[in-house]
Amino acid sequence: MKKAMLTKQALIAALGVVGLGATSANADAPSAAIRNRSIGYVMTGVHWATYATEKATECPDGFNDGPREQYSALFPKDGKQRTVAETELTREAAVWFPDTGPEPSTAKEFKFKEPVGTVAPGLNLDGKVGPNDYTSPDGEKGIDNQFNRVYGCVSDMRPGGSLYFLWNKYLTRYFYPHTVIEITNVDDLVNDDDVTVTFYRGLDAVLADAGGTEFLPYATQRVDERWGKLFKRPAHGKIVNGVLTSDPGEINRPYIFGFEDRTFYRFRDGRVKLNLTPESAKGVIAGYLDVKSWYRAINGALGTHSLSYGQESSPSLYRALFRLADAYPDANGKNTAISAVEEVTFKQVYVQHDEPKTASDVRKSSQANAR
Amino acid sequence: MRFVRILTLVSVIAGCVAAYGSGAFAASAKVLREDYIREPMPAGVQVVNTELEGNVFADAQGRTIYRWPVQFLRNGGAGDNVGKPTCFNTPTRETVGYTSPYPAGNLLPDADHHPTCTQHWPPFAAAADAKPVGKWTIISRSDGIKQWAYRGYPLYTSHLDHLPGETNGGSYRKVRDAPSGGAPREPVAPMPLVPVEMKAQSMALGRMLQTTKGASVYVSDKDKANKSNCTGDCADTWPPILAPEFAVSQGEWTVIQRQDGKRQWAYRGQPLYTHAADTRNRSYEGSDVPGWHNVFTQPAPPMPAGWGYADTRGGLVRTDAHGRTVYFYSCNEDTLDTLYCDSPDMPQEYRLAMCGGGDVTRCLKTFPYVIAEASAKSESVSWSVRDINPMTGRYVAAGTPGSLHIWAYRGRPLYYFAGDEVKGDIEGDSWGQDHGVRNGFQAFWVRDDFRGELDGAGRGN
Repeated sequence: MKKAMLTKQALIAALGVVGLGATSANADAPSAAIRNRSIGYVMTGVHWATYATEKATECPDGFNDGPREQYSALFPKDGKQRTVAETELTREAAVWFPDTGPEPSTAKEFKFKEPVGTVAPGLNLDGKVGPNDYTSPDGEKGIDNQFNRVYGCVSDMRPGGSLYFLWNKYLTRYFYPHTVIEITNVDDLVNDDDVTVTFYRGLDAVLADAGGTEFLPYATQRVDERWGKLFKRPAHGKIVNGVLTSDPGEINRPYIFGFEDRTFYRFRDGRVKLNLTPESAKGVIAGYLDVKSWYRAINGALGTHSLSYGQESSPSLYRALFRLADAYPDANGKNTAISAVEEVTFKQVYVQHDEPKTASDVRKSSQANAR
Repeated sequence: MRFVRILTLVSVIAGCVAAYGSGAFAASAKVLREDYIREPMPAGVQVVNTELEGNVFADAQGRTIYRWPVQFLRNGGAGDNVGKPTCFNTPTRETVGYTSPYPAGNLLPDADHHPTCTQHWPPFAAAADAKPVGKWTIISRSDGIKQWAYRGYPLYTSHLDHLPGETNGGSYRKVRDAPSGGAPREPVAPMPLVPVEMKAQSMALGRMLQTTKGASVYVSDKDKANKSNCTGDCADTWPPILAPEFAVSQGEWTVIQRQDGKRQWAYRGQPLYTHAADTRNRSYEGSDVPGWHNVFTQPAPPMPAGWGYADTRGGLVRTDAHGRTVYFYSCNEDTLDTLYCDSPDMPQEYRLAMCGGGDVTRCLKTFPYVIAEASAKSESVSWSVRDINPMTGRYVAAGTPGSLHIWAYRGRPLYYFAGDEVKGDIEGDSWGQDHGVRNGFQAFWVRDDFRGELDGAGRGN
């Protein structure tokens, strides 16, 4: 299919529309970023997209209680000595062998609190407007984000929550979760109806400024063709008015925290919607999150101690995830995946597929990629 | 690609061979072992070369000697400070609440029969007429025992060690997530005979030579004995490890003259280098380059026959003869003694909670034991074939009705995970309390390209 081709001047003009300006210094930036009809980006930020107001009005009953509160409810300080087996080990067994049956107590600490309201960020994954769908903050109806109902009133996942911050810290600190996307077969970052979007795991440090807080484009990022096969996923995509969307498919996302466990979670029908510039990308990854993979990931990455900081009770969340799951029914008709959205940011990188064999090659590669 | 990976692994193993110059892995006269710096020792103390931890101090029976340096856990510290033993014959019945988030005061499993600290860690006692010597001093304990100390730290043996060379009581390897991993004991050892720029680190494949900053050390197939052929661009990629002007050859270490006039270290006749393209410490990345190999002062003992390796999303793991990822179980109690609860002689409630939600039948289905062939034998003390009662989790005599013949490592059973569907799956990794470190299961990692400074996890590997 014939692609829309722009002259250099028209491209600069288009970039001026999206706010990049058209100084002579920037005039070469687009062609520098796209090489051999490819452009890459490395993930620099990620949050689960839940609807969170400053005063948490969507959580009129407050936030959910976590492991410490539930433990105290089950085993109050009443002078009775209890055993490790009936307390700690029973609660931990509930984490690793969860069920969807009733909570072990009717105490208020076990009453699950879902957010109220009809607004949540996300995408319309199924193309329909259903009774459980949200309306986006921009007014788009049919938003599929049942994950918001599970985590909307869990303090960990809200802005300011411990996981909200730490996930991003470890995203760039450790190599395991480095996520790279490469757009190939691309001629134009503004309009191109036939591109390929491929996810990889990256192997190099994410380039940051001297303060370490701002990430920079134009670095090199090798992709992991050896250990990262699970994370490599191509999909067809298109760019319309600078917005990249991809066709639905499986996307596996590496997940890690400070203890460097090697977990992952899986999106079914996963897709991206990203606003592209030559230096960055920003938008969402959305799809139907496989519940068991997510549950396994978060409990493999974090113990009850860490989850307690943000009042995440894994057994309670397991029940809520399956109760609110809205896709991929199993043989018994029970849904196994839940609509979910990640808000993500990326910085442009030069993707390198062949690992350099010598330090000289590394130096040559970096010189070739210099602005 | 798979063939290349196999070649890469073979290269690493071959590097172990190259480093010690023999084809025999087992503890035999042909296997070169790490050398150490001699120092004065008390009578009754000897140096034993162990398979996994290199040279260690041992008692007259060859049992490894350990120390227990204080480790700060989440809510308090456990272990010994210099000159101050904290391990006594005091019954412990309750948790201490150090490991969070669970409170203190809960009754331990089988509390009435809970071993005391010194029952598991007998103090390494000094004779009544013993005198301090060198770095060895004597502590007069409050229980009347005179206890040897090395560099001030009180010393113990482990009830888990039965044979000379066993180090079932602990390792030098760092425990991942130390605040959750308890306060581990570690073998006490003489200084390895290495230049001040180097160290030997216990890893899954052996005692790996590294610089003191943690960079892996490599050798090249293209070098001759005590002669480097790596110059120019090669030396840019593989910087030679230079020897200072005052360095002299000693033992297996030689100082060689390079073509550019600089002095370079060589070990067992092989010039040494680091790899500029390594992206992390304790790396195997250099061994991915054909003709280059990591250096080991001594290799780890061989795996059971037919076992192998698998690529995973995080690195390389050991697999059993069926290609299944192998797991070990780690546990330490939330007590001041932080006794290990991962050996079959300890209450099984901890393990059963993690492997079966308290249900032994579910446990056996979720994390089955790795079965050994009836004729299976181990060539080492680190790997062993044991018989176990699957319903109680206790070792039993061979041939006991209903028992299983299983593989064990460092005295503890090995498992695979029923949820692993294809070779390379690691779905049982980081399974349990505090991602398997405090009370749970971890894969048997061999090469980990993503876990920073910490190689593997727990004490099992």
